Amino acid sequence: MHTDWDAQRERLSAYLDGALSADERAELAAHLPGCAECRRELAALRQTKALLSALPVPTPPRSFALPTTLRPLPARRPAPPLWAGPLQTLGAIAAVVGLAFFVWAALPHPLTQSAGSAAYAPAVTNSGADTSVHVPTSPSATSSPREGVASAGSGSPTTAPAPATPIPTYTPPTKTQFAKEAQPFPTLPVTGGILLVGGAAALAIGGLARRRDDGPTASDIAG
Amino acid sequence: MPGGDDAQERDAIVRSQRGDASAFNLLVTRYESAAYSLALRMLGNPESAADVTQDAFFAAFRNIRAFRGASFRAWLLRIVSNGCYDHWRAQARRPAESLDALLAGDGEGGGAGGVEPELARALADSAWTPESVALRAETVAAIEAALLRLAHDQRLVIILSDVQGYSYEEIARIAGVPLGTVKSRIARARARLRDLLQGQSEPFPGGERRNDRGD
Repeated sequence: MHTDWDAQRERLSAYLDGALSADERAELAAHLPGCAECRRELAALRQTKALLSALPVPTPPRSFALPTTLRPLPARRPAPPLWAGPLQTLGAIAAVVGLAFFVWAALPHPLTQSAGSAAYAPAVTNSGADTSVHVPTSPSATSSPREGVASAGSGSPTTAPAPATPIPTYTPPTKTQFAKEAQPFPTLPVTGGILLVGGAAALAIGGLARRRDDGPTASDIAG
Repeated sequence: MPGGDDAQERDAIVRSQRGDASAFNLLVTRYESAAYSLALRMLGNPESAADVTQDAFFAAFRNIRAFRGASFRAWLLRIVSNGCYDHWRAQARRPAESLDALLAGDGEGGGAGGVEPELARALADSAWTPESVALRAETVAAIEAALLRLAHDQRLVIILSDVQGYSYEEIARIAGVPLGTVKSRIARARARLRDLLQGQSEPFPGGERRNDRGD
């Protein structure tokens, strides 16, 4: 009657286990009343299942508890998170660059210093009277030389009673010279420090992420 | 059994993964009956079943840090069933012993002799239910012998399904095969077992294949 008896029996078996879809179930329920063969097969499968489920549960002959000295194997390191590697690389680069900044800032700089003195030299030599002019302004300029110079440059009446005609012409260069020299000093070490600390932190975090699952019990083996 | 105290079980697993063997032994207590039953029904020999069960718990604890699944029971029983297959493989390498075992296995029940009377009644009477009578020792022996004559793959799924009562999904996880395969294997195993229990050598109605192996 059924061309594919295997498939039909599979359906009956799944019906028995409540593993049919609602559609399949309805289809089979409609088919069964008219098919003695299927009813017989279904009854036989049901009885077989009932017999098997009636088997007594065997009692274990002993306890299978393990000795408490036993330790598990270390986890096979699950592939470290994807970001751990690049983070470590970036961290290493940042740390090296940061260190280089430090060293650069700490070293005496023949280049920038000679350039600085060269820039100063003409200013000083050109106006021999300048130094004497600068001295009287110094009381106001002790705290912040740049402001002192700037105020001197602005030409307030108190600072320039003497024939100080060259002063305003020379102040602009000195001001820019100060700005140029003052900048690299705080930025280099600070940037270097940030890079160094940040890089080291990134290295450490990447390293931790890579060996997070390494248990301490790698060595102990029992049995 | 399994759904009961999930939090407790998860806690025991986490502590086991940290290396606490006594926490793992809580899991052993919980599942040793299920593990041993499966091994015994698969192998038919109490000593081998106990060995396979012990080895499975040992392997489970040693590799507990590799466990990340949802069901510890399925994971454990998969180790047990793998242990059974290993046992058969090792047996096959010692032909003399396995021949003895085969002959011994064939000797008991299920063979050409008559069908055990209680079995016959149970199979014939559709009103028969396991609750009505505790099975007689002979009936149990006949069913056990019939199980041992099934192909290994069929034996595994039918034990998990009809003896232990697990869902298709859990059986698929334990046996490591797709759901569709579980379904067809269970159907074939049931039909074959029914034939064996009825002591008939011809297969049922359709009568196509004598040796329906798994899928």
